Amino acid sequence: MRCVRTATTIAIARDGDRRRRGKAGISMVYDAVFACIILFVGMAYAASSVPPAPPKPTPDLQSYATSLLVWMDSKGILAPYIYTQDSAGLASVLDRLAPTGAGYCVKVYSPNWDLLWTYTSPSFDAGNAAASQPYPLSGYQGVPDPKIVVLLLSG
Amino acid sequence: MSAFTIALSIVYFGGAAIYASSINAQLAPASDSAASIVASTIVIQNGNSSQAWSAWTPSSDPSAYGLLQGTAIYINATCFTVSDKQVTVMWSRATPTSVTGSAGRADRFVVLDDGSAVRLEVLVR
Repeated sequence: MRCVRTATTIAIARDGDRRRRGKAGISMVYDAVFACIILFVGMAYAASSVPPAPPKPTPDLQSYATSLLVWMDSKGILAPYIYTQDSAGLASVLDRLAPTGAGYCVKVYSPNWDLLWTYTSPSFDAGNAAASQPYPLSGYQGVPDPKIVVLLLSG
Repeated sequence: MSAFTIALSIVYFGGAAIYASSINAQLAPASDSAASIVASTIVIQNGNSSQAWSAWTPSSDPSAYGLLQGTAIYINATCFTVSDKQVTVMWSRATPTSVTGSAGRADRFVVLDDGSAVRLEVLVR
């Protein structure tokens, strides 16, 4: 009788040990999973808190736009479009001469920097654009009428 | 699959994706600089001489521009002139294979000594 009681006690003690070990193992897995979740959330927060790099135009576009205006004026095809406000004609020329896939915007100002008119191509992205140097025009067909032209290109 | 393995996979692949995106962001300006080097080299070689540009043939060999082997280069040059107030194409040359995917880019507009102008487009990846 005493022997049976001792055996039962030992069996109960072993069962308790197993249960304790099982609980400890499960809690370790939960700890590891929880640690991984914390790591992941931390990385996600770090990635989201870094501000995205601001869009920047290709550095060549500013000199490209200036050279393009200078060349068009030297060939006599800038002033007619500007003074007659022929935006369709200007667009047909710039579609060929602007960099492939680039959007553009032409702004025409008075000498006092009042905006007279502007033309923007459908693909122009103002947040990613570079502007030419202000290009002065003195007049058209012998009539003095100073204007300032700025060409913006977006890559 | 245990919960631990699932969580570890998520962390591992999530971390790899974040790392890859940060590396890509760092490499993008390098490609732009490489394209700018190629474009500048071509412009320096030919200057504003219409004869030099007429005789020029674009090369996609990276060693010609001091770039690493395996760098993909696409060059497209078009020469324009104006006759009767109309813009016309005098000639156009390009390397045979284009560059796909995200590539660095450089554009130049070169006015030549005979009054024509060249639009030079360089893509590097």
